[in-house]
Formats: sequence, C-alpha cells, structure tokens
Amino acid sequence: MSYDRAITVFSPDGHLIQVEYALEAVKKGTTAVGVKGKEVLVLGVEKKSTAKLQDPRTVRKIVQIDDHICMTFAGLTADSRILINKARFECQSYKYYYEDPIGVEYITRYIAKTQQKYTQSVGVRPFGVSTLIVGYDSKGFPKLYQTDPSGNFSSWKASCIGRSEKPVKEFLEKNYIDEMDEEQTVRLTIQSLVEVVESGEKNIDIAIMRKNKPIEFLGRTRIAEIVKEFEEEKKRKEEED
Amino acid sequence: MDSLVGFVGKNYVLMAGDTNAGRSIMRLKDDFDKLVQIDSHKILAKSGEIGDGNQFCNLIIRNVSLYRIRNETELTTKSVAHYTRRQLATAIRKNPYSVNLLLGGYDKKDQKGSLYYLDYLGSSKKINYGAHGYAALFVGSILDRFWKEDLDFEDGLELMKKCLREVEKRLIIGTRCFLIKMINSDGISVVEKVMINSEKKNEIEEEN
Repeated sequence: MSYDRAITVFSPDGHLIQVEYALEAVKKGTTAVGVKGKEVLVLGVEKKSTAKLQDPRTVRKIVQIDDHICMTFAGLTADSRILINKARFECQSYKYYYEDPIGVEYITRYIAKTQQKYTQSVGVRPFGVSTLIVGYDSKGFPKLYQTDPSGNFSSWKASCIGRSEKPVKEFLEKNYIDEMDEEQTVRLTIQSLVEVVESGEKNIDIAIMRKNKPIEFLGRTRIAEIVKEFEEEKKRKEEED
Repeated sequence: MDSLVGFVGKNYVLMAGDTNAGRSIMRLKDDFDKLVQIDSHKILAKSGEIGDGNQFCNLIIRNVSLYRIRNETELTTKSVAHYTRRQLATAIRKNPYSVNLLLGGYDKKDQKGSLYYLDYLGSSKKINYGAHGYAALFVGSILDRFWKEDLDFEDGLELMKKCLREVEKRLIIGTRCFLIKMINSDGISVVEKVMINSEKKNEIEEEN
C-alpha cells in the first residue's frame, strides 16, 4: 500500500487511506454516546481506566466549548485538545464580531472544516478524532452533531463513537423513542454504555445539557442507582423466563 | 464628558457612571450604560471615545470568557486589571484606545471587593476610591473627606449620592442622570438610576 505515505494522495480505488487509518484510531478510543431527548441532551462517556497512582479527575472527556455548547470525542486525546481549543476560540471570536452566541451547527461546521483541512494539506496528518457536539439552536431545539476525521458532519437523534460503536448503535436503534423526557434520555444513555463498558458504572461519566442552564455532571451515586435498577430488572426478566 | 465614580465598601464595590452619550454639543443618548459587565463579578466602567470603548471592552470580555471556558475558573480582579492594562499599554504606541476605565470586582476567594484605576496610557493602580472625567475634579475631595474603610451599604450609597449631587451641581454641562451599580458576593446588581435635578431646589426658593 504505497498510497498511504502522503495523505494528499488518492489510492487507485478512490480511497484516502490516511483518513481511513484515522477512523481506525477513532475505533480504538473509548466509547462516547450522545442522545437527544425532547428538551434535553445527554452525553455519556466511557472513561479510560486510570492507573492506580493517577488522579482520575484530570482525565476529562466531556468539555464545554461555550456556555451553551458541549462536546465529547473518541480517539486521540491530544488531537482532540487542538480541536477543542480551536472551537473555544472560534466561539468567542464569533461573539466578538456578532454579539450573538454561536450556533451549534456553525461550530460543528467549523470543527468539521478544520478536520477536512488537515486531510488536504501538505505535511500534516488528519485528526484521529471523532466528536459529538451538543447544544441548543437559536429556536431552542436540542441538537446533536457528529464529526469524523474525514471532515463529514451530520445531525443525529442518538449516536455513538469509539470502541463499541456497533453494539451501542444497534442498542440505540432498537430502543430510541422520539421526544423522551429527561429521565428516559438519561436512562437510555446509561443503559447503552453499561453493557459495553468494562468494570461497570464507575467508569462512566454522564453529562446533562438543559436549555439555558450550565452543564450538569450526574453524580456517582445517581448513576450507581440507575445501574442497580437495570440489573434488578434484568434479573427479574431472567427469572420470569 | 463622561463621569465615572467608584469606591470599595464592606464586601462590595459601588460604581456609578453618567448615562449621557454625546457628540460635541448634542446629547445623542441619555440612557447609555457605561458600566459594562465583564463576567459574573466584574464591571468595567468606560469613559472616553465611544467607539474605542465598545471595541476595547468587547475585546476584554471575549478574552476573559475564553479564559473561563478554557480553564473552568474565573480570573481574579487583579488578573483582569493586569491583562487590561497590558492591552492598553501595548496599544498606546501603535493604535491607542482612547478609553479611561475603572475596573471593579468582587473575588469570592478573598471575599473582598477591589477597584482599579486604568487609563488610556496604560496606567493601572489599585485604589479604594476614584473617578474619571470631570467628576474626578469635584468628587476627589469629597471622597478624601468622607470615605472610610468598610462602609456598609447604606452609608456607601449615601456617599455615592453625595458625590453625584456635587457633579450635577458644579459641572456646567447638564449630567443629571446617573446609573449606580453594585458588585458583591451575589454578583452585579443595578442599585439605582438616579435623576439628580437641582432645578427643583430653585422652585422651592422662589416660593419663599
């Protein structure tokens, strides 16, 4: 495969091999899930298990981009830092020029544009990161967007990126219902992660984005409660069968 | 010309600015808010060129916000004062901003308010009380005489009104309307929009 040395080159069958390799890097990253409810957005991430001597609080996967926009990612953490920094700067820059807070689609397009730039520039490699961006648009509707290393972006009702993308997406497709309330959305997010995350609920972070409110991270005890409820339900179902 | 007055009290900072915006002899606006909110607990009171004031304050607000989003914590008043001063100082010999500022802020960590005096040349000084514009000529002596450390809110408001009454009385240009804001642990609040009218006093005298 000599067509993967310089990323500006197409392979004979029309692939950008480096971009596909970047997607592989994303598939190695820890899982991140985003679910859109009727008036709420929930992000869930699988936290990488930290070493014994490591401070777990310094490993943050859900970050604020602006007061009303949050994002998470899957893939190379260091690469994501660059994108997050650029996004944060762009949000303030937009407000500087237009006084209005930036739109969710606008910042998604900006991040996607940046990722695409790095697939068509000399001497650089693509970002090994897919992102999930959540926020409320100007009309007040919740929005969830996903970008990937190729620079594609699209809006989703619920999406998953990273290690367990396939099984979690199947789970979401089976169980997602339109216009869920906050409780249902949170439960769906936790449920979709609990199945695939090794070592259970201690390694899950859940963040809730409500309209015009700052982001809220769900407490450990609440997550543990909800996970317990699932397990009891599961047991009951198995006993019935 | 703009009048800005500010002083530090017991766990609060009181700031006032006149609400006039004008061009030469014309008053363009009489409800102009010169006390701009920088973040939840800081106000930048601006005076001078209106356009420069807008641009500069916008720049400071956006950069303070960027710091907050990046680092998940707010800057202290001292840091914002230093940052603002640096922006003014680097600009003065290239493309100066014609703005004089009073930066007031409350820091939750120290549980204290602080006030900084900044001017367009890049000066910065932490002060207990101060003013910009023509007000400074009249108000300086009043504050020298009556300001005390740890004034409680009622006394502070009385002192502020004393200052503003003097400005209205002695400044030949009719300033009349002032906006007073307070910063304390709860954040920024508008205390009063004061209309000081000494004409009424004359009416009473005539009756006599």
